[in-house]
Amino acid sequence: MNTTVLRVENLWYKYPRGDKWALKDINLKVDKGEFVVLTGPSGCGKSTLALTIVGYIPHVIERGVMKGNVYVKGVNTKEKELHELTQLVGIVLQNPEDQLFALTVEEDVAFGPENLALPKEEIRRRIDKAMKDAGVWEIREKEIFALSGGQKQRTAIAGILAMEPEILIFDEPTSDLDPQGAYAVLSVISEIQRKRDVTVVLIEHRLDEVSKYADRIVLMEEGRIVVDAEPHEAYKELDRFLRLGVRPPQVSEAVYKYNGGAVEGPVPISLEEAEKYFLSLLGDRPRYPGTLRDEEAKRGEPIVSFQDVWVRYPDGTVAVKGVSLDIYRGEMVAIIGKNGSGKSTLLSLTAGLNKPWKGKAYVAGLDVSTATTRDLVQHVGYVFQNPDHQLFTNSVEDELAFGPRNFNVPEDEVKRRVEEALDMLELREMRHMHPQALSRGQRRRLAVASVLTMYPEILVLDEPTTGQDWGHSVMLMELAKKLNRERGMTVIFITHDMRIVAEYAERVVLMHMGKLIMDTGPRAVFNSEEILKYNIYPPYITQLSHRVFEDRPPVLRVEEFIEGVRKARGGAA
Amino acid sequence: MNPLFADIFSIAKFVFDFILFFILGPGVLIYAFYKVIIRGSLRRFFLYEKRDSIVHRLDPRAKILWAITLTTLAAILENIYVLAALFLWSVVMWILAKPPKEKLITAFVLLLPIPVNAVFYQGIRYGYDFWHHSFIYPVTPVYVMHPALDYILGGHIITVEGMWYGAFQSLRILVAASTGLLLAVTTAPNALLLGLSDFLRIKDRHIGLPYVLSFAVVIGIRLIPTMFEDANIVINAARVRGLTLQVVKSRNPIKVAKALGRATRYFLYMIVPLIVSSLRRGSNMAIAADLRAFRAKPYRTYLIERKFSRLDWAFTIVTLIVWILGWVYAYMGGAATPGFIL
Repeated sequence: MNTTVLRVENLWYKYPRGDKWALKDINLKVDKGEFVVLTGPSGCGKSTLALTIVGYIPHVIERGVMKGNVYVKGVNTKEKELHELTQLVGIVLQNPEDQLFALTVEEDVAFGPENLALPKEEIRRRIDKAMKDAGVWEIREKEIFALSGGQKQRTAIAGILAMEPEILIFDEPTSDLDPQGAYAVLSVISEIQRKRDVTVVLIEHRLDEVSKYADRIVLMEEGRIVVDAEPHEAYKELDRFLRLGVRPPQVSEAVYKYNGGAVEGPVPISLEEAEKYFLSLLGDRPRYPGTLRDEEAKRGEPIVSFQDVWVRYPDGTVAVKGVSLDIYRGEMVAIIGKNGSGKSTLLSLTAGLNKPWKGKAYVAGLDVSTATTRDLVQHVGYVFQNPDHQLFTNSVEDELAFGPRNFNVPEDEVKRRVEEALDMLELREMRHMHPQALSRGQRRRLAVASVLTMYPEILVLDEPTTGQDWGHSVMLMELAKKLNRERGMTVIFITHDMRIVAEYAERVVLMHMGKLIMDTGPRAVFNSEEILKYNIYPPYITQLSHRVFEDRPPVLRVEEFIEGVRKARGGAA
Repeated sequence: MNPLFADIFSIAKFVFDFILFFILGPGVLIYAFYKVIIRGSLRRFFLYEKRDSIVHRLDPRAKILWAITLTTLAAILENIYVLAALFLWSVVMWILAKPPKEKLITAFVLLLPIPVNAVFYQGIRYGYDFWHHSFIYPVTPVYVMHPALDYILGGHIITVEGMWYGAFQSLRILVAASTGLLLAVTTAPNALLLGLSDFLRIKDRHIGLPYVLSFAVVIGIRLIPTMFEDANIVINAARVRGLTLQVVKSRNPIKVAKALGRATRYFLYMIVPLIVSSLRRGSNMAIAADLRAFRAKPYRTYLIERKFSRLDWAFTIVTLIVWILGWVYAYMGGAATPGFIL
């Protein structure tokens, strides 16, 4: 018999000083051992709901308005002390950096049990088990600062496991990680759920990988639960997910769109299921009707040119090793590769943030070795990953004017550019607001906009989609595409998201350990078997078309796939 | 004409003394300091390095007790030979710790200004009545500077008595500084802090510094690399928007003032994103800590068993014996300020 371990009843919540309800009439029941994926766009209330479940609301954030009740193992969270609740329900947050408190892995994992004043033997037993389950046993004596992002996140997971809660909440645990780190963290989570028979609530807005683990998908919109169903059923309302900017599994999207939104029976959620579904329609594996080829590259004049470039940091690390690469005016180029492969270092040369150690780099005709950052950034707009690191002023307007003013652009011209940017990035209503009062997605847009007012010819985006939901990622990339098409701006972006690469890049550069491995079109990249060696996997739709069509066509988009299936069926009939 | 500068010789003497004691002396110290900082060894100096030596193996508590003992004895005892012996003990410990040469040089450069300044300034000021330009005790002069330096240094005659007194004072500070530095260099910071929090255990109770304090410092240490990274990104983010800190090579006061104004503005701009990202991090950390039962109980337990080895016991017993002997000696009249003890 299933026992309910978590029950949320008619829950309403409003933050202190908030003017809107963050949660509206939430009702949710989770049984022991269930794996629930909670999803929705940024700001929909997912994290707030998580904070009420762990008791942080109302125990620490006290002055908000809370109506309704949350019961964890039958206990009303309002009536228990927070530290008692921590032994029933634990939470792992998005950024591992924010949840580690000691200097070594083992000491950090012990932090919680020590706080609970458990006897030493019990602490030892718990942390050993937790470290093994979270896959950090081998690195238990390492210092935190020497770990990779994925290892840090697994350490954080071990720290929560050591509290031995029966419900585990993961709040976007992989969105700050690279694919390798994310994969390791997800496998650890599913393994823990299986081995420990705990209940898992995973908050996530990329549903490709997690749907197959889920017993249920819960979708939230503006503080309300709008979908709560088993995944195969939940994606029957797939347009709801898409409309909210949440990314359902690409294979489900293909089935859904193929059927024009009315899927009979369960919607496939994994590659295997989708393959079966389409093969049952197509019979034998047909060839893909038509040919898919990468567009002919635009080869005008090279605007960025690396000639056997090496970059060495003062501590002796050689981050870039002999890269030769020409990027032509008007191209849209993606740079991929795992963390530490030298992608960011290579691009940092374009703004003179690093200098070549050996070899030559030219940007818009300037020699990077001798040009100053000031000279280079008149041609290069460089956007960093985290908007918080690049907003300096007290209003949106000032932020947009900041760059041009530093270059003594005449004030009426500055004003003109600000107005233009306000319109282009839909920031007009917020022009007088403080940048820090904006939402994360808006801050991100502002960071890009404030570089655009400097009128760069080249736009460099360092991981524009990391930590963002799909809707915001797409919005940003659409903007880049528009600038590329309409203004001929050269766009170079670093990303770990292969779906973004497939949909937006005209050219893909793969780096590994400081070296350039591949430089070709996206279709060629995703059809090459070699990328697997570097742990790069094509988007699911490409993988699906490899399975469904005999000739492994390099499909990049859902639409291309559907067209192929339609034509193949039409041909057969 | 001012009688102090009556002839060319006295002027030359003034210039010579001024250069020697005012430019050359401090110059050498500042240069050494600068060298150490530029070579980056200062930042690394305070970073704990795992090493195997008898001093590294000592329990942090044994070392803390030792440092406190030496520092207090140095503060209360009056006998220069005893002070020298205490200092020597700390030097022996430094040698036993087998630090890399670089660290020894850094420690030397850090400590050097203490005795040099104390010996020099006490050398000219000890017992000197500035208003009457005479000594209140009989003194043995070592070097007589130009009298005009009275108005700059507060004295111009270096005396043996003063130098002794300076040596004496500096030994006190040296003992404290050298034991403290040794503690920092040979003990992992978390072990040191937890050693302070978990100083004594009586059954389940822990006696020592409040845990919250040592927690705060450990977090601080853990975040240092992150903060450096953040600062680096913020500086670069400003650079790509055309904001840089320019070095002005000019003696024109207006230009220098303008440059200073720009520098101030620059740092103000830098501070905003740094504070914002720290605040966001801080509030997330608060959630994470609370949800791992931080401060849930009036006391906490510790995973790491701090076991006193035989070596620790031996070292601590010797320390305690010296401590007792020191106090006995103090009561017998060896104390600097008897009133303090009573």
